[in-house]
Amino acid sequence: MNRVRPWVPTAITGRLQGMTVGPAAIARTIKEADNPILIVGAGIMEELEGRLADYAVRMARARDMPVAATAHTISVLHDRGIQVQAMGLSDVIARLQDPEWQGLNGRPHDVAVAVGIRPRFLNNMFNSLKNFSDVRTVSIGKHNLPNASLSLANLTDDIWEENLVEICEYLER
Amino acid sequence: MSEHQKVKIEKMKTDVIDLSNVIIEIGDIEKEWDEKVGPHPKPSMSTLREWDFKLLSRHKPLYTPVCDECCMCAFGKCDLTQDRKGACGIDLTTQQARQVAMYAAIGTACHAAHARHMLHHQIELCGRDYPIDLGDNVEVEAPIMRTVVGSKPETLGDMEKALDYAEEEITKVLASIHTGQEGNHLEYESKALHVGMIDNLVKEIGDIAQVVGYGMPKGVPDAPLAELGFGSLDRSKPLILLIGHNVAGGASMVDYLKKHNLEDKVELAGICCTSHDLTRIYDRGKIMGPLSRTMKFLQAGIADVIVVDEQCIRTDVREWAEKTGAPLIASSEHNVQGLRDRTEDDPGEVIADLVEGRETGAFILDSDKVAEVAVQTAMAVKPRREKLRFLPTPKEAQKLAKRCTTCEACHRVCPVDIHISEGMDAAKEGDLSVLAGYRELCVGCTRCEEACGREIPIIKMIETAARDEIIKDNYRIRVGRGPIQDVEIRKVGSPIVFGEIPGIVVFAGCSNYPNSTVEMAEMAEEFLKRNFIVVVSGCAAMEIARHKDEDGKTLYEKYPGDFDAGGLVNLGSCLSNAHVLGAAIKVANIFAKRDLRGNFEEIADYIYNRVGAVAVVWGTYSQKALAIGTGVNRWGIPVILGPQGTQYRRQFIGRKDKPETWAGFNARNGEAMNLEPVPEHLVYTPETKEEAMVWIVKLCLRNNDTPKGRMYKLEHYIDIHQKYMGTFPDDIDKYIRNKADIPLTKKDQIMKILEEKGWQPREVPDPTIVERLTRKPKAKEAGK
Repeated sequence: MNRVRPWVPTAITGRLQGMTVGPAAIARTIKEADNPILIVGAGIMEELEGRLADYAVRMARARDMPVAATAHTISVLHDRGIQVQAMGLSDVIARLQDPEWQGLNGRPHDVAVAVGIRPRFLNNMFNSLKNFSDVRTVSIGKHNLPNASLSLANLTDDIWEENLVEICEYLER
Repeated sequence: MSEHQKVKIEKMKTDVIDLSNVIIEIGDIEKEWDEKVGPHPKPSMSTLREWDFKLLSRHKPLYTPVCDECCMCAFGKCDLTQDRKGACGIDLTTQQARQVAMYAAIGTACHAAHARHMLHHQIELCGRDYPIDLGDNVEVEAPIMRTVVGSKPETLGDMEKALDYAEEEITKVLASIHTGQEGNHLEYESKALHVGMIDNLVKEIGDIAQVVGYGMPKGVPDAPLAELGFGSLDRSKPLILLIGHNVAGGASMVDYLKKHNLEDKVELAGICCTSHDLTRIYDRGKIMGPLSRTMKFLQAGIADVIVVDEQCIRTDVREWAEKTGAPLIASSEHNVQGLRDRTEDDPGEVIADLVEGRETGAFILDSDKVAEVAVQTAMAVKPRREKLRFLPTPKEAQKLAKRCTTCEACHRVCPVDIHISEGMDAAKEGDLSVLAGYRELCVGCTRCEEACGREIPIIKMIETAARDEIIKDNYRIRVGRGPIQDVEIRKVGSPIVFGEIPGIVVFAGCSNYPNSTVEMAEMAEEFLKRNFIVVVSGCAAMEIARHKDEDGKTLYEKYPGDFDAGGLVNLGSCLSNAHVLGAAIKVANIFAKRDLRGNFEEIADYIYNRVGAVAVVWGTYSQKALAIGTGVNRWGIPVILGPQGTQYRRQFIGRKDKPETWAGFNARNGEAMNLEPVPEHLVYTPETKEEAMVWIVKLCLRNNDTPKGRMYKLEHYIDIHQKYMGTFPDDIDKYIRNKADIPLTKKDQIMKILEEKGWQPREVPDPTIVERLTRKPKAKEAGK
């Protein structure tokens, strides 16, 4: 675990920053979470020539994670055979801050995992959870986000894909 | 509505009094207006907070801090992370709301100062008693002023008192932001809403003043088409480029050109809202483009003289004017640019100094002198500037690209995530097409150039790469028409309120887009085809014009300018966008016969529950855009921000899954009930254009929709959801009150969903969220 310069140089919002970790730590956090939620954004349709959607689906299945499909990703995920809840990112973030919210599967979520969302947008949204909730946040995008509790480093597509494979394989064990 | 009177009595003698040479001055006389005064004329900062709290209990603030600290006082920085408090006791939630209030106040102050200057200027030109005549079809001349201030202006001078009121309220809100005051975020949100409402008011005053004084179009649906884009310029003529928002200097230039028969000799064009207003007064005025194009034109050095006024101008304009040898004239106290004050100097001397290069610019506060200096200087410097070239050649661009080390520093700071190094890699091989493709993505912020360690002139290279397209940049935009006519409101009032016109979609704001600039035009056309009323203003109106169909036509050439179903209504500049709120108020007044005078709460309640309007600020940028959006929020109009809008730090999010948060009343009998969760949000930032489309149609739902209207709206909601999300919406049961609401073409599918969800029909109330506006049965009242 080491400090990495965030992808967006001005993304640091204050004293408290998350940790930059490797795929193993991320996979373990997701696996050990009580009830994680996977938030999937529009980037899954373009990144890694569409294979990012496959990895998201694989992780959701492996960990039995309920999926919030933000933006217009719902049909892409449906096409891959998983049931998801269409919900805008702001809606998800607002609900995750509500201690009364019973999550997408009838229980509060303790970890929010996000992929496919633009780094600036997600960093802002995760800052909301960092400051106003107890939910831990995990970014599995290829850009480092200081406001995620755990984030990968800034990665090339090749290495990022290797990381995603590692996370999937760990969750599938 | 009020006027000053001075009476001189030279000699008066009665049984009880003997006067000679007495002057009696009466401050204000309220003119007759046979509308009763409502409960809230000139509301103070806290007058409408109960109304605000009603909205905020339904649409709770969702904060996305851009900074977890506060550095506003000498104790700072204070760390407010999580539940920590600062030295003054403030927490992060309250600090976010405080900042929103501060930014909204800044935006409002800009419009207020602009309006004050414009009103002074017009009073100087036309006189205080100059009548406010907006044409035969506009009797409700100032709906916002009537509602908020409670006065009905008949002359330019009548609007001064309203501005006095506005300025007092802005000062109060700014004062409340000082360290050591509000400890509750909702109080600051209420103040932000208040100052936003004041923003609505001052914009209306400013635009009425200029429409009346300059003789701009007065609500004319078929206002002429103006030219937009670099390709519209005659490059053989000297070009004066106006940048900013206040057209006073531009108007004087038009007069000067006409007076000296120079209209054929000089090109007058603008960037940002001042260009909208230029085309409203000058049929040869050109619009270069929105704010995002500024740096591209500055770096290309196309202007022979640059005249800046106020608001949304690159603060490094002087640097670029000097680099390209274009004399710069600053014409507003808001933006002096370090230039010497030449207001009192002889124009001939100033011109000579600029032409001969003794000075690079001048600060001139007299608009007539600005005109003379700008025109004469442009004509004098044009011949020598013709030989200058500021963009690299394609060969030079290739050479510059070879400096790129693919470090990605440019990519990391780009607000729209352009992968610039890919374009550079291609350019190294002589292929400039990738860079050319960035032109429609780039919002011209130049952060990439600032980040580049190799000093690569990225913007210039993109312009060089796209040079063939730039020359063809010639579009048509309908000139800003100003107010909506009362006769138009009579026609559309009923279909809007009952939902048969599915909604009014307003595209406004700046041009800091998350993706291609074409998205705005795509969104606008989708809703035009669906018979929504599409209203545009400011940079958004320009950007929408920058895209043509396969026949070479812009949306302005394809759709009429009427405020009616399928109309594309360009109001004009930022100031002018007050008129769309004015139209919503007029629906309440002209169609529903609700009194306006000092009656904010009832009118806002009417709009919130009955007028299906939504504003889209896709390219969020300035504090003014925040003020505009926050202002319409107070009237119950939802705002969709582009994803960059999270930088404004706050959204207003409703919870359709919590029926208890939608408490209201059936006005028919006073019964308390949970109303429908519509409009669901008051401020929302979607992630993509496709998501925004779904929200636009959904946020047009209103509690008061008739079955037919609701059916139309749901038809569009389902259709757009299927088109852009690829699925049937999963919340349709929440918006069907009884079977008459069900779209006929989807009936079988919907009935199946309703059965699965255990749906039960619901009463359609006469909705209100203000208890005093209910008509309680007499027996019930007697029992109290």
